[in-house]
Amino acid sequence: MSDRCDHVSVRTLLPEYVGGVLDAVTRLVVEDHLTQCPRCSQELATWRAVGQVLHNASHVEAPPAQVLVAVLERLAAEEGSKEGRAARTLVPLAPMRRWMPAYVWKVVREQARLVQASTWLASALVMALGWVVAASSQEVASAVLILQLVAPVVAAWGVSVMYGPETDPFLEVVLATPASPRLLLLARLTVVFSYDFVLALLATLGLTALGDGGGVWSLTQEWLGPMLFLSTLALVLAQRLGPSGAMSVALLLWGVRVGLAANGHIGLLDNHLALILASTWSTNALTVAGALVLLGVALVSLRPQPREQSGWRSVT
Amino acid sequence: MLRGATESCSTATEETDAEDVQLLCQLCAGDHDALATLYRRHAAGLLSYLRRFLDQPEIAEEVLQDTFLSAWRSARNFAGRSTVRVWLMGIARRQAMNRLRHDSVAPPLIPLEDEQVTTADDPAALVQAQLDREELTAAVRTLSSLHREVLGLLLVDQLSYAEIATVLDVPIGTVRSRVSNARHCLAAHLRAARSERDE
Repeated sequence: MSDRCDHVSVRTLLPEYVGGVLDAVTRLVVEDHLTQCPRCSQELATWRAVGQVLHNASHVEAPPAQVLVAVLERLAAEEGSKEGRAARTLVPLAPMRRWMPAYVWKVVREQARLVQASTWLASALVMALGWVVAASSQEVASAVLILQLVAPVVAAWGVSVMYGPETDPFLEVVLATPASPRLLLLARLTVVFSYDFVLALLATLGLTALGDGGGVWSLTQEWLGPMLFLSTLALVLAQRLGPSGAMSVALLLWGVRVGLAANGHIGLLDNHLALILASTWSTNALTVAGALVLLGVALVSLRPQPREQSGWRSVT
Repeated sequence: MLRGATESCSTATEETDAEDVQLLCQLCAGDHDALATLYRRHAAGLLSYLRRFLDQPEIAEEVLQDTFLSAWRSARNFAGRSTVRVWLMGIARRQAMNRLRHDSVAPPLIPLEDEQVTTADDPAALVQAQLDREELTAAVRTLSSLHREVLGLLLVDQLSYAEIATVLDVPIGTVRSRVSNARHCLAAHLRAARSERDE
């Protein structure tokens, strides 16, 4: 290395030398050069002085105790709140265990706690109202039809409002946890759909107990397929149009179905729309397959959320 | 304290980091005392760092709070790719940026033209025959926040270029160019101050 080259490369290394981050060999090279080069020694003195100025300008002797107190108070407050539970309960499991049954169950349980109380209440009220109207109906066919119409719409509404910043104030907190957003979506879908399924099943049992609609399974078949299809359709639409857009489409389908049913045309019209509606409003392989496809679309199109650790880079 | 590190220092750093990692494990288990210990070990350094680019001390303390809350929540995400100290500094920087964005203050640490190394020849560089502390302090003050930050991380916090790159979330080449450009700016200010004095 020529003197000039040595001089330039050492000068470039001086900030790191002052920072104390050079390896031992490079440090010795720099120190050797400094003993022979007054110019670099002066520059070294300047760098040290710059470091001292920066140090003096911002130095904090002891950490402020009041900040720690505030942190611990905020933690205690959060841990007693819903947001705190949402943030904490999903954290303590290692990444490799994120799809283990115990972890999935934990996520599902926590998501159940985070669904808005209004969602539970409104679903139960609408289903109860549907049941009352169905039970008071004079004709068995009308009772079955009412249940067939109400159950899918209640589930579609629950699903469309369950997952989105517009309707869930805790979503941001939940998404900041290490749990996969897809797992969170599936967990919440499971919770909401199961709840609406149980409500519809209770209504079905209630109707069969009153002697309406034949057996439990045949009556369940009347609403189960449509419920699956309409819920997953609402999920996909909610991701693109928001909860109100999703519900508008679900209600439109529902309205057309009611109109056709009221005229007794289901299955009789050659009209393609009527055929599609008839097939989506019954329990068959087509509705189940359609629901699975829609669920896949919803999961695939879920955008990854930014996370605290997204800034990680590997240190070279 | 600004002298170079030695092998014994790096061994001490490794031991300190092993203790910090242990504290993070305890954080994951919900141990508030571990958080308090982590705070006592790193809060002063983090606050010094934050004060270098957050003008108001009370804002810096609020960001420090957010930093430890965030560390508490994301302790499980620590993957050991850097020391805990560097990880905390990265969190502190992101929290500070969030705060500045939230307050609608133009973030002072957005890179402008400095990503390219300044190539102007400056043979005089940082050499000053007689260092005048006031002139030097004034020259440091004229540096952009971005340059002050990178010099502070290097000269005061004694982070390597790779560690600084992790904190700033930029490539290591960007760190080198920022240091080089900060040096050119300092040299230019010192030259100007000296010629003013000589006149």
